[in-house]
This record gives sequence, C-alpha cells and structure tokens, in this order.
Amino acid sequence: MNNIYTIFVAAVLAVLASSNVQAADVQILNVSNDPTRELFKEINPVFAKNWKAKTGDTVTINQSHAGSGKQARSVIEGLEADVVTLALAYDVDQLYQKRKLIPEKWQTLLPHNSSPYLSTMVFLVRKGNPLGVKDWDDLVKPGVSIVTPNPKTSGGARWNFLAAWGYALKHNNNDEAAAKVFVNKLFKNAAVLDTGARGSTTSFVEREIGDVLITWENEGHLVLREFGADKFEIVTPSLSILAEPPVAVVEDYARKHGTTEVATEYLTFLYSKEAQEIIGKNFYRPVDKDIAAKYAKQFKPLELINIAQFGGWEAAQKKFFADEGVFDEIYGPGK
Amino acid sequence: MNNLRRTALASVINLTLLGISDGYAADSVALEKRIHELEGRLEKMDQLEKRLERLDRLEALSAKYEPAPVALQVTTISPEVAKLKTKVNTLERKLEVQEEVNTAAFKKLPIFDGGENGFKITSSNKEHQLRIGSSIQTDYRNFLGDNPPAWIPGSPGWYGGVGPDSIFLRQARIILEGYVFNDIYFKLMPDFAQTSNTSNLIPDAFIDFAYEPKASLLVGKYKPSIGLERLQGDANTVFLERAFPTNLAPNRDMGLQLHGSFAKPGYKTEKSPGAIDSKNFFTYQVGITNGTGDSGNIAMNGALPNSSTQFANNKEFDGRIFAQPFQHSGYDWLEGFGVGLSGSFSNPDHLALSAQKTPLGQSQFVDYTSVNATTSGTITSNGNANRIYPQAFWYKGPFGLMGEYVASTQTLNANGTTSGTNKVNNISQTNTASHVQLSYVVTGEDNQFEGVKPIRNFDPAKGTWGALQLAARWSQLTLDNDSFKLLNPTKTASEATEFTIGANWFLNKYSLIRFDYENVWFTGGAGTSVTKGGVTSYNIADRPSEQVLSTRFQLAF
Repeated sequence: MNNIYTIFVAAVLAVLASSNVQAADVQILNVSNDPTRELFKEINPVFAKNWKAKTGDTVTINQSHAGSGKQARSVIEGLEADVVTLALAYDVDQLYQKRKLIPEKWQTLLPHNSSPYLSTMVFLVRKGNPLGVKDWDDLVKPGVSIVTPNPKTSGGARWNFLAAWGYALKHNNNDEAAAKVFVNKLFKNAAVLDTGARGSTTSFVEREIGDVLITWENEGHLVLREFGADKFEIVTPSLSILAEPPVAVVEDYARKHGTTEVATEYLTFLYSKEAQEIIGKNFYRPVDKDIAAKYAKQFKPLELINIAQFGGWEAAQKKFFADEGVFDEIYGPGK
Repeated sequence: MNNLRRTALASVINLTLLGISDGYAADSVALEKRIHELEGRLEKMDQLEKRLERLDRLEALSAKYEPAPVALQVTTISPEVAKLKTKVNTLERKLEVQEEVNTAAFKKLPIFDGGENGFKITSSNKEHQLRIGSSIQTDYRNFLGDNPPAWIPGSPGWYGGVGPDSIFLRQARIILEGYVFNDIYFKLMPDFAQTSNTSNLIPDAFIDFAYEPKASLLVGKYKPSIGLERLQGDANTVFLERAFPTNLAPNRDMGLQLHGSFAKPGYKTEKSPGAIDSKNFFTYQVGITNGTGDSGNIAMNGALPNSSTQFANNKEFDGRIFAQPFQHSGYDWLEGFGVGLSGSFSNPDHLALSAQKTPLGQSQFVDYTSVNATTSGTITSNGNANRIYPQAFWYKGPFGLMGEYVASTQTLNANGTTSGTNKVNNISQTNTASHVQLSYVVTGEDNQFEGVKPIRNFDPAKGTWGALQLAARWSQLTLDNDSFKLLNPTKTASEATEFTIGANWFLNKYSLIRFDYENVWFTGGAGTSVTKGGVTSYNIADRPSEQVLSTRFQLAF
C-alpha cells in the first residue's frame, strides 16, 4: 500500500510539472527610472531586430518609467519586471535584500559593476543664466529657486544630494556640520520636490517653476534638444558625482516567465558597440572606451566624486536617506 | 485651471480624511490648517490670475493693432505679475505632486470589500485575499406523535446529545478562506456547534495548490469527492438534512486530492479552487485519504473515532468524474444537466462502524453494537470495502432535480458464540441507498446547485418578500440481508424509506428560513426475542413510522 501511495504522489507531481505552457512570442518588461525613456525607446527596436535575426523569435520590450526608488518598491511589491534598469545600485540591491528576486552578487554578473552607461548631475538654467549660476554655492543663495526630485522616491535626487554634500565637504574642510547646513539651505530653496526626475523637468521646463533644475546630464541635453537651446542652457558645476545606473535581470520573475535567456541577452546587448553608440547619442557616458572617446567632447570636464567616497550605497542610504537620516533631519516633518 | 486646482486640493483633503498622508505630512490638524492657508492663497491668486488674464487680453488686443517687438512684449508683464504667476504655477505643481504621492499611497492600501460576496480583504496588488464568512444554523425539531418515540434504543442520536423536541445550534461556523500569491487557495472552517475533537470541530482545513485548473492539488481535511449531495454546500442543500445515500459515504477525511476542470473546447475554464466544482464542462477528482467508513468524520489529529490502526498502512482511494455535457450546446433546457460517477475502495482493519440514522430525526435504525445471539463483541469493518455512486442533477430556470444511488460493500467482522469460542464471523455486506429530490422556486429565481439568490430581498416596507422554494424528496436505504447473520433484527431495521417535503424562504442571499416535514417508514427493527433450549428466535416487527417537523433559521455568507 505504501508503494501505491508513493506512485500516486509521484503521478500527481508529474502531472503538475508537465502543465507548464511556453508562449510563442516573447515579451519582457524593463522597469526603469525616469530619464531613460528616450534611450530605451531607441535601443529596444535595435535589440529586437538582432534577437529576431539570431533566434527567429519576436521579442517585445515593454517599458515602465518612474522614480527609481518607487520603481524598485513596485517590483518588490509584485510588478513582474524581467529586467530593471534603475538609477542607483541601492535600489536594485533592494530586490535581493527584500525579496531575493535577484542573486546576492548581481553586480558581478555584468561588466562595469553592471552599469552599461554612466552620467552625472548638472544644472539647467534659463537662457542667459539670469542669476549667473556657476556652481553649487550659487544655489544656496537667498531667493534662488531650485527644482530637484525627492530623494525619498528618486534615484537622481539622491545623486543630486550626494553631489551637493560632496561639494560642501570639499569647501568646508570635510566639516559634516557645515555640509548639513549647506544642503539644508539648498533644500530650503527647493520650490517643489517631484517624485521623479522627469516630473522635475516638467516643473522646470513646462510649468516655468524655479531658476535652476538639478538633473541628470543626459536629461539636461534632452531638454535642449526637445525644447530648444534658445530657451535653456546647461551649467556644469566644478564638482559633481559619477552616477552609475545599474541593470539586472530579475531572475525570479524571468524564470517564471521563461524569459531568462532573452532578458540576459538584452542587458548584455547594452554593452555592445551598437548600443553604446545609442547611449552616447542620448548623452549618457558610454562605458566602452572607444565610444566614450568619440562622445567625450559633448561633456564638459569636471571633478567627479563617486559613491565609494560615501562608503557605498548601503552606507549612504542609511546615513542620508533612511528614515530619520540626514535628509529627514533637514526636510522631514515639521522642518 | 481653477477646476484643476480645486480637484487637486479636494483630493488632498479627501485622502487626508482617509488617513493617508505622505511621509512629510504633519498630523491631520496641521495639514488641515495648511490646506486652509492654501485655499486662502488660492483665492487671492485666482483674483490675481483674473487680473493677469485681463492684462493678457489687453496686450493681445493692442498687439493686434500694433505688433510690438519681442523685448517690448516681455516688459509689458510687470515683475509683480510674473512673480505671482510663478507662485501660482509652483502651488499648482505642489498640489499635483501631493496628489501623486497620495494616489500612490492609496494604491498600496489593502482593499476592504463588504459587498455581494461577503467580507474580503485583498492586498493592493491583488495577489492575496482573505474572505471572512460565517454560517449559523439554529434548528427546532419536533417529533410528532410519541415524544420521544418509545422504541428508540438508548438515547436518541441528537446533535450534542440534546433530547428531541429541542432547539439547538446545528452549525456555528467561522469561514476563513482566500488565496495567497494568486494560486494557493486555503480554507479554514471551525464549527463551534460541534462538541469535541472527534465530532468534527474543524470540518474543513485545506490548502489547494491551484496553479493549473486542469491539475490542482488539494491537501488537508476536506469532503472526499464521492456523494453528490454531500458535495453541495451545507448552506445550499434543499433540505435541512441530506438523504440516505450521503450516509454511506465519508463526511470529512484527511488526505490529498488531485482535481481538475475542463471547459468545453472553445470556452474558458472557470477557476474553481477547492474540492467542489459545479461550474465547468468536465471535472475529475482523484484522492487518497485515511478513510473513515460510512458517514464518518476524521478527528483533527487524524485519529479515527475508534482509534483504529488500520490506516497506518492502508488508505482509501476515491475518484469521481462529473460532466455537464450540454453546456454551451444551445439546448437551453439541457444546459443545466450534469451526470457523474464516483467510487472508492479501501481495505480497513477493524474499523468501527457508524450507526445509520434517519436524516431529520437522527434516530438510529442500524445499530452495529447490537448483535444477535450467535455473535459477540463489536462488529467492525475488516477487509475489502468499496462504493459506487452514479449521480446526476438537472437545473432549468426555477426547476431543480437531483438524484443519486449508492451501493456500498464492506466486510463485517465479529466474534461468534457458537461451535466453540473465538470463532470469527466474516460476512460481505452490500447496502444500497438512493434518493430523488425535486424543487421549484415559486418566485421565479434560478434554481442552482449553489443555491437560490433572491431577485428581491425581503423588505416588507417596500412590498418585497424574498424568494420561496418548495421541494419534495424520496429516499431509501436497504440493508443487506446477510447483515442479520451478525446484527440483532429487533434493533436494526432492514430498510428505511423517507419522504420529505420542504419550503425554503430566502430573505436575501445570506438569510434563509426552512421548514421540513419528514416521514420515515421502517421494515423490521423492532420486536422481541425468545430463547428456548439455548436457541434464540426473533419475532420481528416493523418499527412505527417517524414523523418530524423541523425549522431552521440560517445565516450563511
């Protein structure tokens, strides 16, 4: 009788295992941060064409864009992304920390710490730079109205914050108290804190709010291209931060969808010469040395600090952006 | 523009009142104060904006007659107006951002639903759900004629041991069911009207891994898929108590079941987690359980009523197929016809046997503890046992018909008292039972396996009275004659036949008042025994018929 029982259970499991169905056409979802819309709109069809030629399969890449932190939370809460392409490593890492959706060592799975493109944070001002903004200390002057997203929801805003903090430390002999006063003044001058970088662009460009927009370098160039260089200009500060937006396959979901292979290939493709060209054209800084050299002249030279100087993202998040961190201290309830 | 601002402001107020605020909002009083301030500022800015619009119109008018150079146009807007315009834009944007934040927060809240399908809490991503339900049944049973019937051996088998002509709680259940991660269903249903662990304190406690409708795996304590009327929900049966065939199948058992549902080709399979599916074109269930014998319940810890050890090595296997072959056929009058076959087999080892009782009166008419003069000890089920259950229903509009037949075979075992000691008597017993029930919803609602849903709820003030269903049932249980090689024929009837009529008054979807009148006739089961010269003979008589009138007040959701 025990044997019959064993056979019965085995039969049940076999039936369940054989009931998976494969889809004919492939669809993957790329959950990304705000300013990458145009970049992936250009990259996706090129990859789809390559994939079709290689495998004969038709791949459709769906895009979802919002503030990086917000997007990470959505994936953790069940948005079934096959890949994420977010603003910073901390947000991607949360997919492992909170739900083990990706491997712990996800950053080692692709070159350059899984960042196929780089960027930095610059200022966008109105044509003629009426306030004569040149560097970070111009932004904390009384009466200057700045626009930046909210570091609680936006990855770009966290890069902005750290760049300002780094500048303040450098000009105050690494005095953290002085840096705190500096960023306090900076955020006091914030007219509105949007939830994502694209929202801030809308506030500054379309709603004509603020004197200075602190934004991604590529976003600044995109504004010049879309709205006209006769209306805005980019101001590159003396110091900013090297933003390394990372990418990762959300292995749990990809496995569930049967898309692990195409999702991995999609992200690997971002390092190809073809994709790096598109990255350069969209004003991101390519990681491919040849392509980076080709597009170097479109970026003004500046001093770049990096996240390692803050002890990595985990430490930076805990110190500055976690509940009751520095940002809450200067901008939290009642501030 | 004004509308946009007002909508945004109203959203902030509404969401604030709902207790939703972003991470930086102060307490509600402070926020309210801020909203009042903002409203005041908006009023002022509305006025200024109107002035600005007037200025713009004047500017446009003058430009029509005398186009001005660009530089001149810019200077026509005073710095004060430009500043105010920026303020308005900023305020608007802040409200939009606030609304975005609040909307995002709102989307993350679980959804509480107290509507048509009971009380539900669903996670914001809809992946998890908990439904809270309940079933309360309060019955009054009244024996007509002798009270209590003098011929009932021992105490009547009433629920909870209460006497006849009593008011008692038939069910007091809390139903917790739902799903996690979309596909894993669960049900936990304690019944506080039951008096002990062995009397089915937790009728249902199962998990159904329903990833694929064609092959789902249910594990736990549930109704084995054998008898059709047994599978009908307790709140949805036509009569207060089920007919005789149900008593030859297990009530609740523990085990696992592979089950699947198929739609007619070209149609979508309706998801139907749990052990019962009356929606799809074709369904099957194959199960393996501990086995409890006829009309048996398994205890929460898996122990059987008599602590039998049979299932240390043996299990009961059951299977059922059921089809509604005319679904989507275009033959409207046959769409609700379903037919199926189920069965089981097992090999129990000295399993104690449950007495057979009348449905409504619960009077014991098959008593396995009363043996004849040539038998000693207790009769148990020991050896091959099997059941076969053809079954069918047919629903069309207000009309409903259901019937099933069962032949249940088991090996009875007891010690003998003749031809020396310890002689073992084994007999094969095949009991049969059948029932047919007819019901009609007088008020015109659809009659369904899942019960009746009134079109108009009971509301005397509005002149609506709910729904009324009338029903009649015939049912019979026949004991194998060989049973009397072991049983005392003056204590056990060889046949019981019942006829019941009932009326169900549905006040609304959840509330119901039932009235049943049941008459049961017996063959045998009474009389006297005479012993002469060491030989016992029986003067067998028919038990008097039993008439019971019963009422139930039910709330089930």
